Amino acid sequence: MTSRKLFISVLPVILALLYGVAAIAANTETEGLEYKLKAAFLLNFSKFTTWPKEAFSEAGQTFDFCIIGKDPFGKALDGLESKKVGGRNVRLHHAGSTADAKTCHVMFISKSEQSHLAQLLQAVVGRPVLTVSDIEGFSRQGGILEFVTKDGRLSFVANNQQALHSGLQINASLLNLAAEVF
Amino acid sequence: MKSAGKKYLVAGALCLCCTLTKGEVNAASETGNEFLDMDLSQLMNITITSVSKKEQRLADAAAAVFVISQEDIRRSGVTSIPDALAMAPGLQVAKISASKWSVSSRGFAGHTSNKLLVLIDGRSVYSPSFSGTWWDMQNTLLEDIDRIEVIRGPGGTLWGANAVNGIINIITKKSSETHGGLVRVGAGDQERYQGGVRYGAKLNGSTDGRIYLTYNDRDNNTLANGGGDANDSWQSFQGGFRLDGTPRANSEWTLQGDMYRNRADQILYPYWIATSPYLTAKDSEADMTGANILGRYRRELSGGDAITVQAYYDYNDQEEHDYYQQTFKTVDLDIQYETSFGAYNSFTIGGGYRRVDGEYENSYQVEVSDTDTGDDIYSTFVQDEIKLIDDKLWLTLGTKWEHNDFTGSELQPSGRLLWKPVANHSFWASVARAVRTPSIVERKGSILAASYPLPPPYNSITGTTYIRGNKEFDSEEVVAYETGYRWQANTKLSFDIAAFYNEYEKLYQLEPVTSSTGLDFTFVNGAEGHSYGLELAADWKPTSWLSLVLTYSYLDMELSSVNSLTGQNVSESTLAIAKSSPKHQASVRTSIDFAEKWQTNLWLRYTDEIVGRDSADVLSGEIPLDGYFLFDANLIWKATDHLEIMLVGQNLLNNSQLEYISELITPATEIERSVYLKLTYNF
Repeated sequence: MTSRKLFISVLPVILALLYGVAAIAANTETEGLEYKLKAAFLLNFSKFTTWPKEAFSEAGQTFDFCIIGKDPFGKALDGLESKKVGGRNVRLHHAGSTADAKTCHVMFISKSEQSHLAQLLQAVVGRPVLTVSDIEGFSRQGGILEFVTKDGRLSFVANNQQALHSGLQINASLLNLAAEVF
Repeated sequence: MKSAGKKYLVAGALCLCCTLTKGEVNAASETGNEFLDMDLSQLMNITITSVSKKEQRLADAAAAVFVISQEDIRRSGVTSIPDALAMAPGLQVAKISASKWSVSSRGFAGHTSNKLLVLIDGRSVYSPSFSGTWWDMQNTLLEDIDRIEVIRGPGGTLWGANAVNGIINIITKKSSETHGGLVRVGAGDQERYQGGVRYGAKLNGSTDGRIYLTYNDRDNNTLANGGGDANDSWQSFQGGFRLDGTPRANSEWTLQGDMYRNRADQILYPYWIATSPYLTAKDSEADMTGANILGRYRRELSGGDAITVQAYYDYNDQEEHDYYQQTFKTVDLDIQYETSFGAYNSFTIGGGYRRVDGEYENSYQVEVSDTDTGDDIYSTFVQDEIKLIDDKLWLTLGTKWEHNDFTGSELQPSGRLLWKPVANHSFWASVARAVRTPSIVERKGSILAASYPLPPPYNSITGTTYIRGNKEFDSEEVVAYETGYRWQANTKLSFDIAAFYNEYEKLYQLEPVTSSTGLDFTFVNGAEGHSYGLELAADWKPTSWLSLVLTYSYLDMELSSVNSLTGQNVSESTLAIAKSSPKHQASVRTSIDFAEKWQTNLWLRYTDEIVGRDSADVLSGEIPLDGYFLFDANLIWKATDHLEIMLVGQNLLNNSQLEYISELITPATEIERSVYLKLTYNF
């Protein structure tokens, strides 16, 4: 048997071993291009939205991002807290439900919360909270900004009626970039 | 051996298939998210998924890839797809005549170069008759091409058989990106006339469409021997449409089709006849007609899963008058599912079925023993991309199992590792196996390689030497080891380097066999060997008005015959096919926007010496070709927002240049200097 033939016969074994090692070594943190982009979108959304004065109870209050449910971002949110929105320092909160998140300015609802989305949205209705999610049909169900993929690129659908109802002014230049506005 | 492989079928995965984009990487801080500082319009231009396969940025591919963009094509002044491919490192592109090219990846150059798989919008244009691509049948409106992805090295795990040394993915724009009209007209000496028309529009809230026509008329070149007219003029005419719809935010569909009719003059040489003088040349022509239609649907499901279904039908008829005629009808169905398993495994699984029906008309020159063939190919693949270290280290394992009527089951596994120690540096390494399945000619064909008078007492018949197909001919095999490094220094400077070592087995070789009319040759899996090489690409944009692209490729091949009984190498010297590709190739492209509405583009490339094969002497004919330089230059004037005028010069250093000698049909032809002017009007 030539070394070449030996190699070919051994190749599947090597691959299987590599696979085993990989499966063990792999850790559970998730992250990727998609959520890095989504994180950057979130920051841009907040910069192009105007909150009513009463959304900030005191001068110098932080600008609060909340992640509701299982965090899909992982390290994609690293560096977010070093940013400023409207001159305010950004703070990031993780919460199991909206009850823990009364002071959120931007609320990202994870796909893990799909089953009780209606209750989550009901809890913030009429309050100046910019709700964002990548749950399919989010904007139709009363969410404000829904991530969608268009032509292989990340885009979003804006429910501007809901934004206005919540007391939020979404800048026209942001609405112009949306895949759909209603 | 194969059964051992099958056991691990499910253990496989790789991520190469993925459509690649040149997403710019910011020279980011080493931790955190480099996109946070980008504005929304930039972010919305980053492709994250694509219809064909899972998306990857160029910097994230564990393979040797090079992307030729629409802008590269526009600025180069090329008028055909194969000419555009000369921009990529690692490919050997040489023009044989006005309508014929030798395009190969990492060696094995030739008109019938057979180790490169070519896809146009997901449709394979690899010909089953000789296992290669007839470039004179592959066309589209060049302005509608979004990009051409050139992937060197084996891609069998995802793409299937015959992606031995590379895959070329020609991807046209979505119809949402081609709204409005385009009219192009041009004229020149070699590029006698050219015309292109496209109109695209939004058809309703969720559907876009376009239609196009393109026409080219090319003039004759010059024969290398004697300087006579090479009689190789070529007219190509093609039209088509594309519709894209997004009925819902999470689903999209595409329906597209093309029809073409091309005709070319050609000199058939060598053209063997049964009487004296036996070896002749014949003025003849070729007619090519074809049509295809393709539909694709993709739907994203909850939890990040996605399903893609694609089907196409392709008809083509190639009539090389006085030589052969063949018709192929191909039906292809593919399905692919993407899902994740846990937090760190991303699976892509898929299956496909292809039916190819062929019909042949035999001549004294070429015969196929079975004038009606029908071949079925079915396949399945799985790949798993595993995150080993978050954001730093990925392993992709995969394999394809494919069954064809000739050689049965073929298994093509691969393993790829990608390491990104920081955001703008990536290292990758891979091991992969790929096969090239036998062509119809290699199994069932006969090609006349010589005719001659026989001595008495046999002088009542004409002696002939055919190259005969062999039903026992098996797949050629490669195991490739590759590694590479990419560095995006900043938004102005990037480097890409790839190195490979390929081990080939069971390569085709011609073996003499006696026949009733002389001596024939038959295809056997009688050669083996290795190749190694290096490819480099550097991209530098020192200022907003200047850009430079430098590529260099090195290739070394050692192939020898193997005695089928002893397994020992027969010859010390390397086989002719190993010498038919240049060792060194280099190219420099410069783009200068020297005034607000003026651009100029210069392209110099060098191809090292090769040894061509003398098609009139199948036994030992070798013709050395010197290395040569080609220089193209053009001037673009954006006269108005709608009108662009371009003056193009190609092959400016020489009156005419012999780039390659075909091993089949065509006499050695020097490609003439070419100058043309074109106007492009957008509205």
